[in-house]
Amino acid sequence: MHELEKLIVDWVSEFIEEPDVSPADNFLDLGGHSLLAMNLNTRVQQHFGHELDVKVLFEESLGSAIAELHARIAGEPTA
Amino acid sequence: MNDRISDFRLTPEELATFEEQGFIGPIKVYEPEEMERRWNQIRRAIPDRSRAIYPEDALGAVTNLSNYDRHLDIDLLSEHIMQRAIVERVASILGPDLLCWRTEFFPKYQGDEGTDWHQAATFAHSSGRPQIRWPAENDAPAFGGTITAWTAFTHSTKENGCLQLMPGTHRVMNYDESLGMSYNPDTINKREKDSVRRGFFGYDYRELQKDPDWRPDESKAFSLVMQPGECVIFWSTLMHGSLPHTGGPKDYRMGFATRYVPTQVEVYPDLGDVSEYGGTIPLDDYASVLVSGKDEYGINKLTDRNRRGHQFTPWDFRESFSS
Repeated sequence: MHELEKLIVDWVSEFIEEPDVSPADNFLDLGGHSLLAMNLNTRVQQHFGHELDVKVLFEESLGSAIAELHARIAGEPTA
Repeated sequence: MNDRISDFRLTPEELATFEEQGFIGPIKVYEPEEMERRWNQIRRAIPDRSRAIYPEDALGAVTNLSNYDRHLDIDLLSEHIMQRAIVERVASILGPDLLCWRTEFFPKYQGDEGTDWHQAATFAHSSGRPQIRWPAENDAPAFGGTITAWTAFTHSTKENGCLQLMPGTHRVMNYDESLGMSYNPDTINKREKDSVRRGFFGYDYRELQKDPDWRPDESKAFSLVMQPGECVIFWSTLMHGSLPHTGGPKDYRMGFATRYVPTQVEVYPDLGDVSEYGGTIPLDDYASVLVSGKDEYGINKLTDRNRRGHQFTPWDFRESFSS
């Protein structure tokens, strides 16, 4: 798990108050919801100047949402 | 004939109770498991705003006007506003020719204040301009309101901020919606009213009281605990509010309100936009949905499909209602 992924997974764990969070988990299935996503993205924005794509966050795994964010930060095209 | 009697038409006894109490419910619209399945799909669909009728930026401090009327672009919400278990009951009350003119999500998250006691007839309360107008009676504005069907998309408990109602209070308005309220989002979650932390999404509904010294009689109130998929149908002029959320971060409450009026009621009269709760939405793409019967008045813009092509096919209760 690279640093960005570990950091954001830890934040999700903190916001959702769920100790065992993995990049394979889906944010909504963990019990996340719109407000928690907004709070998470406020922190992500503060640190990285970009936000997680909520569509990806809700529909796919945490790892996919973080990879998409990472690609954007790096200026790389996403798949 | 039995086959002409439908499942959901209110009985004379139920109608009499509704007349007296101003609400009916909780009633089951979906089994809890079915509701959970549907909500799981809906919440994944919400972030896709590509067909939503309002722009994304109509955000207030706690209210997102952009998510009004998502029944016009999310198929499962389009289905929901047409649910016979709701529409036929509402038609029992308002008559067979019905419009759905507004839908709204009502979330409560950890730490959220309860909602002020309030009554709504014209819905001018926050925007300052009437959003529905009933035909005049004897040259005076008719006493109107809307029938709201509030469905619990999640559990709705005392801990996560369930609805509260005051039965029998729907016939007399304690508030004058034309007085206007000041929007002050800094007060959100910070005020106690009769020992309960309440507010009105950045407004203080007490500013609309006809008598500034009047206080809601909390002894008349009860808390409406509901399972996912249950619904309460009530006059918007009924005194209602909600409890604060005192639960945990994952135990959020999500209500979804569908609002209905008869076809002779004018929706958004003379309005090009709605400004309230710190946001503004243009009405250029707005249309009401005929959910049952016929529109013989032609005063409202209607749509027969959502923005993804989902067809709204109105129910026809005229025959069963005349039996």
